[in-house]
Amino acid sequence: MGYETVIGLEVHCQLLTDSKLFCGCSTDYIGKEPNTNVCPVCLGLPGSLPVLNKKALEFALKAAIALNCEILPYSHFYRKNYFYPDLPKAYQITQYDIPVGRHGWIELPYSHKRIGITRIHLEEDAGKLVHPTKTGRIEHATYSLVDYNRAGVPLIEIVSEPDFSSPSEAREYLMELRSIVQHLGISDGNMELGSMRCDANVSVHREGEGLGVKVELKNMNSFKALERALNYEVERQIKLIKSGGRVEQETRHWSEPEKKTISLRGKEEAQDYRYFPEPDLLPIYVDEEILESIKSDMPELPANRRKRFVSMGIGEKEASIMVIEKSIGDYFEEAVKYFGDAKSIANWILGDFLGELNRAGLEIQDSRVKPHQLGRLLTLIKDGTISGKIAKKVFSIMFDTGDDPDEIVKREGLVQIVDRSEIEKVVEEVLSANPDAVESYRKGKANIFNFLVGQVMKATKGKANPNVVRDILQKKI
Amino acid sequence: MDVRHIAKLSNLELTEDELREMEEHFNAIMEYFKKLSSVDTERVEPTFYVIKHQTPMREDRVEKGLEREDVLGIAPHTEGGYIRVPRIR
Repeated sequence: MGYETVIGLEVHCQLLTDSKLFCGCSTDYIGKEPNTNVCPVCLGLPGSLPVLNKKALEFALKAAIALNCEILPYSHFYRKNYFYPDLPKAYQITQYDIPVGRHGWIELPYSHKRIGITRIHLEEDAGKLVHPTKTGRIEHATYSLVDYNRAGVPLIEIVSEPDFSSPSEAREYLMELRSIVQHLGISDGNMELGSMRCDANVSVHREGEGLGVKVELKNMNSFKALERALNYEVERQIKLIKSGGRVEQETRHWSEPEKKTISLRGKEEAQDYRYFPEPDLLPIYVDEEILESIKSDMPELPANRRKRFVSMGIGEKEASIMVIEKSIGDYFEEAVKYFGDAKSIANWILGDFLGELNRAGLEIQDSRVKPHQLGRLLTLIKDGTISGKIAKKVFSIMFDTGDDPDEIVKREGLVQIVDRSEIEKVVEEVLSANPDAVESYRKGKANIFNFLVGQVMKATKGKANPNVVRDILQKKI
Repeated sequence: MDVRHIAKLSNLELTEDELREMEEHFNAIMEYFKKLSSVDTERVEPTFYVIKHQTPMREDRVEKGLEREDVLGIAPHTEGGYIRVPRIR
């Protein structure tokens, strides 16, 4: 009998505001000296009062609109109480019964499956803890160090319905979600740097039976890690059930180095957050005016952008990859301004360019090759100045130096040879150097022809125009 | 009222005597709430806020916070710019 998997995701995205959710401290905390980015409000000092950042609310509403949510005309904040030193106030200001938006959905780009969005709400981030130990293991630490620079940074939490039936669907959703927040300009969605974080609920059950016990998974810091963790956990649960065991309701952490999920907490009392309405803030009323002004300011979303890219002449799959990261789509559109053949631009970006970027560990916007230079390179191919093969070499130099393609072609002497007499000379040389090949071609071995073309190209260091080479060879042989 | 549970959530250690004392206080408070609960609120919307105004909002502008020495100055223990706390189990 088969097993079915049920997965739901909870995603946190840091909002790209300049200041924190309830105070004027900067949200730019990465790499800063600890505790240099705090004030009485985010430290929860007595007598201080939080004041909502208007932009953070607008960003949350944007997300709710983009995810097809019902926007609630009234919502408010709660205190979620728990005793942990990453929260200086001993509570987190978050939302509870009435979030900013609920009952939304998102359509997955490849499988076209519709995934329900349970809710989107606003909340503040916590500080960071460091557990200094010689072993690096938290259970060996005798004390912890706290840095509150991140405390109070605005987050949206996006909770999905348990609509995923496989780890790959969950990953597809997370990538689409990241693309959406990037296109909205409300979060950079960087999982490695923690500006996008994902927890998962996973359960398995035998086909036709009721839902299994769900396990919460944490600490997946990349898309790959998410998929790996989910696959591991599904396997673990199925094995456990098959061997007559029972899945415990618990929280497990994904260990990337060990490639497994680990139960860190033993049996724990049910969480008791004692939520109550935040008395330091008043309710949020979202009226038509606010909503209309946000709706009128909505940028193009990935789904539409994909369609538009397809209408520009590139394949559906290529269009999807181009939209996974907003910056790649932006680069593509900019380059197309300089060279109108969108398909060629896309092929170059998805081929050589992404390859070089991966090798160098760079993002496309940090590349030395600018969109107009890529456009120029393709123009040089089109007008016959260089061959496609030489262009790859030129591109590689562009990637390393950032120099203009024209300059590289000139400097390296890479201009294509189109002069017939010059190519004819090389063809004759090649033919007389390969009498056996010529002989077997004449006896009917047609594929020898390509070998001979290759020899001519080699002799000209790839600079001969291949069409001219073919033409001359055909006549001479 | 499980005082022990509430104490644990707040990371407080109470002696048996303190627990008994707290239990008395808690029970007195709970009795009071029972009295409130006896009121028929069937058709009354919950009142989370007595003021029905939009919460005041601020523009997204960065303002200077506290100096680090002032922040660390109010912490009982510090180390290398961090606030040092007992490990939480």
